[in-house]
Amino acid sequence: MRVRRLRIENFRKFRAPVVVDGFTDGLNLVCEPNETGKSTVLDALRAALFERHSAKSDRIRSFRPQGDEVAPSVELAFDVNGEEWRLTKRFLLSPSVTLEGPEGRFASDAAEEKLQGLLGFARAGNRGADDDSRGALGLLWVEQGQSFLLGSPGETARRTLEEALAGEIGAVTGGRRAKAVVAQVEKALADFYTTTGRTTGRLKQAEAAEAAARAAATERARELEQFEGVLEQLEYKRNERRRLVRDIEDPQTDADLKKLDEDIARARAAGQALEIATLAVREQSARRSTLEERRAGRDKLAVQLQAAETKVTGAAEAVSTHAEVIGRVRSSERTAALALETARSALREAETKRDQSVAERAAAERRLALASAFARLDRAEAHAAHIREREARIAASRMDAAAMDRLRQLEDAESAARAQAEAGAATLTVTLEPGAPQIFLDGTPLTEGAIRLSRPRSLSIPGVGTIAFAPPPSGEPALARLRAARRDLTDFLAGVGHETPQAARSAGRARAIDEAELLGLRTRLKAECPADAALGIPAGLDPLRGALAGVERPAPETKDAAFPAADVETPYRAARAAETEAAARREAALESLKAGELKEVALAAALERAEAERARLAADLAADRAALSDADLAAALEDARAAEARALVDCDTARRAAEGLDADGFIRRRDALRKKRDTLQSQLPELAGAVARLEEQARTLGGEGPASRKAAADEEAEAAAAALARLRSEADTLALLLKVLKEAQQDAARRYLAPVTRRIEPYVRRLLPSASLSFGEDLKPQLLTRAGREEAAEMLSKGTQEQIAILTRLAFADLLIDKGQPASLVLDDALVFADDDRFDTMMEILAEASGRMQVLVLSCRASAYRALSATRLSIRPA
Amino acid sequence: MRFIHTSDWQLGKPFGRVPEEARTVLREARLDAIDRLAAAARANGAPLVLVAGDVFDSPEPGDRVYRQALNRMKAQADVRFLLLPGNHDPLRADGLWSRLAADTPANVSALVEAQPLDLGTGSDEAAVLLPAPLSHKRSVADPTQWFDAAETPSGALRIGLAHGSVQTFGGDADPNLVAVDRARRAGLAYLALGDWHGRIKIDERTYYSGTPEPDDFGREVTGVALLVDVSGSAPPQVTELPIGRHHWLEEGWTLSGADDIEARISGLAPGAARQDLVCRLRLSGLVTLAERVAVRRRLEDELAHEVRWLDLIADDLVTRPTDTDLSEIDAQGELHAAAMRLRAMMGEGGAEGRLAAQALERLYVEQMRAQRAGEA
Repeated sequence: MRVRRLRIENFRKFRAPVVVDGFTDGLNLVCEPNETGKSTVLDALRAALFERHSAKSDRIRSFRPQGDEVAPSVELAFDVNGEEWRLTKRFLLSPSVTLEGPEGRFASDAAEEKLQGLLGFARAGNRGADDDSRGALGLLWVEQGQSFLLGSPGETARRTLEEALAGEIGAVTGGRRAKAVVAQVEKALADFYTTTGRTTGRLKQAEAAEAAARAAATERARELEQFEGVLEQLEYKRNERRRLVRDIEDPQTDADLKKLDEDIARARAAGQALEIATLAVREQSARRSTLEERRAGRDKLAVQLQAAETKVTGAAEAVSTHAEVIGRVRSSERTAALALETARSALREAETKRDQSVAERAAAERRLALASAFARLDRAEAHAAHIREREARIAASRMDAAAMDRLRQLEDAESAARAQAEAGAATLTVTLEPGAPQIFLDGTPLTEGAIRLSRPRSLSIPGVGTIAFAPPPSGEPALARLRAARRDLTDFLAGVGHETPQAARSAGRARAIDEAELLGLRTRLKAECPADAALGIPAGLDPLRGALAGVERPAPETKDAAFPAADVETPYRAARAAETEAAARREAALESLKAGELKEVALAAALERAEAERARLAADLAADRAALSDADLAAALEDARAAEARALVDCDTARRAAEGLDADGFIRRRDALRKKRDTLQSQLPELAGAVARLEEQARTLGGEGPASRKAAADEEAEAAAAALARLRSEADTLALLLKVLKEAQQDAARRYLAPVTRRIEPYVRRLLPSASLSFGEDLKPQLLTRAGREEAAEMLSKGTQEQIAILTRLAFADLLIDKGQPASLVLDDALVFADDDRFDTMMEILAEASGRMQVLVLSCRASAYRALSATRLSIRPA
Repeated sequence: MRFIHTSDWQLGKPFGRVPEEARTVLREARLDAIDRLAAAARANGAPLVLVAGDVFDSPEPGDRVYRQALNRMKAQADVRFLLLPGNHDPLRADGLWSRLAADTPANVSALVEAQPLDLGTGSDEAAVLLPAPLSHKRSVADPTQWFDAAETPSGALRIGLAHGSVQTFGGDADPNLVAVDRARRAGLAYLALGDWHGRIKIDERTYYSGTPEPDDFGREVTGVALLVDVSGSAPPQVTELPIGRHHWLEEGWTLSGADDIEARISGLAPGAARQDLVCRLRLSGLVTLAERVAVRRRLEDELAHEVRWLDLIADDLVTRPTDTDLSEIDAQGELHAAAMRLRAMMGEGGAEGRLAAQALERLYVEQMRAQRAGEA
């Protein structure tokens, strides 16, 4: 398809008619600045073809220039398959369309239909043309800003492409019918399984129904079982009740009860007789044992009396024996007391002697200490005198260590100043020949040697004259410093009172010696005045002087007087030991005496108690005998024993009579029988109730028809299972069918996309070396493979996406042209994101493509397209 | 005397395997048989109906079922019904029969004791009924044993009423076995038997009436009651009375194409109303895909809706998809490829093969539907 001429009027910004003509078969370029109306040209082109002339939609209205109620009109001349066609379309006001060509002139809807047939697009919908209706040309005529879209072609375009593809590969895909079948199968399967494989819809219902039916069958079976259980239990309870009634009405029980009552009466009578006899025995035995006890008591009393008398005798003997013993103990205690007294006197004497001796020794020791102290004081006083002498000398001398240092400094300063003064001076070296005349320097005769001329000098040679030397004025500051140094030294010497430095130095040395000796003297003085513990004198000279001031210096002879050597300690220690021993003896004697006295008291008390006991016993015995004589007691006892023997015989007889009759046993048996009957009777109402209850239950449960219900539930469960199996089978069938269909679709897609893939490959390679592009079934670019790496087309850069989108369209156009379908390419402001290399490559590709199809490029970038060999068109007024 | 011999009413049979829409009607039809029996009795001057066991389908059918039954019988007040417990509804303490006894209308009696019953015919000829009620689902002893020694007034007709088989079927302890010559041994004028659902004549005095309303496939003569006319020592005159409403029909069709399907359908149970037809068809044979689909469509989408219930078993109707079948799906393209693939899978057989066959059939059906939608 080739556009030849376009005339636009009352369309958007073109109120006045404009014309674009001069289109060639190849590459056409409309290069105008922004706002010129390039995009409007494309819009008008698209509107003329794809929009229905009669449409009144908002989009159609938007074709009008702002605010004008006019009729947008477009005239288009184009070629298809070498035939020329002219299309005139007018919108909104008296809308019309005419199409003229080799087949004649068409108007109105016929024109629209003819146009659709010629160019392969569909009738626009009510809202105007869209991607689906515009067809392949719509896809290839790319509006501004749309060139980036890597979308899937619209419905009509895709169909056209698919038909072209089918024509090329010689095999049709299933097309719409296959899609419809797949959709139907998917829809049918969706009634069984969700996309994630879970059951849903009918299958889920059937599963639920099957589970419910199974549960119901189980429940019904349980109900039937319960009902059968009720019937069984009912029969069992009825039998039980029958047995119970038989047991309650048993005549043997009555007979047994009557006999037991008689036995119980007999046993009770015998029991009473035995009880009476037993009481009689008990009474007689008590009487006999009372008498026996009385006689035994009396015998015991006599024996006790005898024993008490013996005890009294013994106690009296013990008292008299002990009296002798205690007499001996007392006398020995007295002896011990005397001995102790003697030992104590001896000890006191020895103590006195020892104390005297100790006092004498202390006095002697003090005298010795005093003598020593006085000697030390004498020496210390001598040292003190020396110290005073030295201190006086030191105080008189001013040449201390600081003064010495100062002197040294001054001397050093003076010699340094002198050296400096002399350094700036000239040297006069004098060598005199023998017999030379006398020469005078400043009045003194000149001798051989070097003379420093640091100050003005005058050399006078008698008979010759005077030679005066003056040092240079530059030496004056040094001389002044020397003078100052000498003055300082002289001032210092005057201050310390010495004529010369030598005298000052020796005075300083003498003072240093005095200071050193003073230290030694002070140490020695301190050593002579230590603290004296014996005399209680603290350290120091003054305490020593003070302590000895009021004391007479001991005579020198006492120093040698010997102490008396008599031993006072040994006798003292012996006397002490003797006293301790005597005291111990006395202590022991006192202990013995105390024990003897205690025993004496105890023995006396025992004797007293024994006598009291004997008196009591004698009185008791006498009283008892007075009440009943021994003979009377013996007779009463004999009588009581005989009565007891008789009672025992009677009791034995009664016991034998009662032995065969166990009243308790009879009563137990009777009670057991009665209780058993009561128990049975009490069970009866309960059993009757149970039977009634079960009968009622059987009636109620039976009324629901448990057996029928179970049979029905079983059959329904079976039917539900069968229905489920059928649905599962259908679901499996559908799943398999869908799987096979999808596989077939994928195979077909692969095969039928091959022509597109093949066509685009060389373009892509030129742009992106060694890359390849693959398409989805919907003809949408999907994957770019570069160096073995796959990239989703949507993830590529915007620029690359646009380039690929344009190349894809080019491939589609090639495909259509190969199949004899109308195709041409329009790009509006495309490739703005392409770099220079890519742009050039794209231009080359477009230029090549323009050899096969008409290509129209609309752009505002004149410079970018300057080098492009293309037919340049302009929008010009008509 | 004349009476109606019937048995195996099986009231309350659930028909749980039957689809719900047919189930209710089949259940109701069993109760309707009571009215038809009464009408037949009245029409033939035989107002006594002996029911030889299995009045109810189960030992506990529930109050609703027995009340409906008794009500139906009560409404036919001029007809006397004598009901015998059978192996489906045996006598049990506190069971169905105990409960039912209290509600029995005057013209109905439950024969719960094995003792002679004077039928009080009112005519010159006395007749005594010897009933043999079953008290267990299975009893080893012959329940009619006592007929031999049963004392009846001399000259009275002895009519036996029992439920059970008269011959063993392989098993050595077949339950409720009735001696095949009981009528002769016990000097019976007629022995009315129940249990078999088809009508059978055992000897000239021993008959099974079969069920009055058919309830399953594969029975012999069903849906009848017997009108018995007995007098003196002559053999009884036994006449079949049609009672049943539904026809239970089971057929196997071996198909080689879809051509004769119409003829076969129109040949189904001639004379029977379609809505009273319960039909089980077993299809077999080898057909093309198109034929199979056409057959199924005719049977499932049309016949199935006409009859009471169509139980179609088409597992053995094997498809061999022809090239024409496949090209009808599509001459080429994806659908064709899918069809070819499924046909290949079919060839491998087994469960997968069967599934593939179903898938292919479904594909055929779906593409036809898509085509119709496309044309529409």
